[in-house]
Amino acid sequence: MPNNFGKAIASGALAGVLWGWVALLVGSLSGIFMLEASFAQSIAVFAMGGAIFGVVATGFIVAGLQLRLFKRVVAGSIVVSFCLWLVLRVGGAALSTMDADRYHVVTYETAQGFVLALCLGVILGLLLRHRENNAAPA
Amino acid sequence: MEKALDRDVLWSMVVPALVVFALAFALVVVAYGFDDAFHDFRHMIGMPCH
Repeated sequence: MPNNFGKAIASGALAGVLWGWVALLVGSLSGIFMLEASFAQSIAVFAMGGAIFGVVATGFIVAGLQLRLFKRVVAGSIVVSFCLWLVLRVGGAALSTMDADRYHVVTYETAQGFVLALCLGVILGLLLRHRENNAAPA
Repeated sequence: MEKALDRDVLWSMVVPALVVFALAFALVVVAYGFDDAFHDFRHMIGMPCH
């Protein structure tokens, strides 16, 4: 794990941007949801959304490592990313029960989101581990 | 020396923690669209949306 929290956050933002573009690519290929905005605009929006997701997930990963909730960075990152996505998804389900017209659930999109959450964990974990290995003295 | 240490702690721990805290709120806003900008992103990551 990077010793410097700030550097870990920067890694999280980078991983999030990469993940946002992976999500855009996967979504475009799967055809589960057709983009309504232009592809150029989506590149920026997905990078921003991914960076936000990545930074928040990194905050929890660093906290988990500090509290020794897990030892392996990649495995911990996958668990944290999935849990963060799940919490948001459960919140979305709660909103859906209150206002089904505005927040309606699409099962295929949920399945895609689940897979993408695991992807974020892998990307984040690999990037954080790479940082850790580079920071360690030879 | 002590001031330098404080500044180091500020930039390496406190500021990143505040960034994470602020972005956690931003994530909720993005995930649920609490007012168009993130409409496609929300659909792609499986969040309920119309």
